[in-house]
Amino acid sequence: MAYHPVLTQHFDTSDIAFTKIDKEIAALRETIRALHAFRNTFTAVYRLPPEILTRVFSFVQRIRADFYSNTPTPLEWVNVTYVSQHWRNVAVGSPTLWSHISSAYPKCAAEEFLWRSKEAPLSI
Amino acid sequence: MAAPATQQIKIRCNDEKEFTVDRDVLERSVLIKNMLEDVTEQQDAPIPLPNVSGPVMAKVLEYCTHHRGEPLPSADTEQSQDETRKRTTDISEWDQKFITVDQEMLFEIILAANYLDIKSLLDVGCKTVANMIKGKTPEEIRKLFNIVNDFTPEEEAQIKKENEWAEDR
Repeated sequence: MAYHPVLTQHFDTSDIAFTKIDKEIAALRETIRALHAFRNTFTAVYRLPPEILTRVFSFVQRIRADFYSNTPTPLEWVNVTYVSQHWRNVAVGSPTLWSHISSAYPKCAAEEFLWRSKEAPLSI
Repeated sequence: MAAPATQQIKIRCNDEKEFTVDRDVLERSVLIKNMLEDVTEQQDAPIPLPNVSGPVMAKVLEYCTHHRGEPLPSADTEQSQDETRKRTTDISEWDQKFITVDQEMLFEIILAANYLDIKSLLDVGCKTVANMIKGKTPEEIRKLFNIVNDFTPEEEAQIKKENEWAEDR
């Protein structure tokens, strides 16, 4: 089995330093992650500027609230913050999305909402 | 008695495609409406729209023609966050059929509506994208829009922590 020259160099060395290899793996992982982020910029949805994406997210939030009608706004819409780094930055950086806090939310969720809502007027 | 002749306005898209459209149809766009109000003399030269292509403008005009004569949303409505919250998430049957296009066209229509300042069309587009997202897991959303996971390990750890409080959603 042929190894990549960089790896062979490591294996040939009698005192293989795990930390060195781990560092290289971490660097490669970061390169892959950066490439994933770069790849995302070519998708059609990434053409939407942050203010429009925020508008979309507010509708996702609203649709779910409409669906559950009389129950507190469910937290499912928060899924948009788990999609990609860009979506997360846009959503977390939009205080108005976090300004509707329900007393039914777990304490840690309510605290996070409060922190992310920054100066936006709250509705509880 | 014959109806008064409607003024016709020429527009030119970024691919040189030109349209001649009734003024009241074009005035669904606040951007064009303001442009026309600023022009006092009869102008024969087409209005240049450098951010919109011909095929997208054709769709936008289809929407504007269907909704001609309807009241435009007031600026006050836009400024109120509460009003934004109260804005219905429903889309009319005609609008739903109109916006049933591929993703490329959907996002182009949204961008054109934003540039031309046609709030109702912008909302139809944004609600459509929101409907595509609703009820989906992050992985399903990624698949839908051809996005890949690009979180750092630190962000992944934070998300995992957040998932604990978001679990009872």
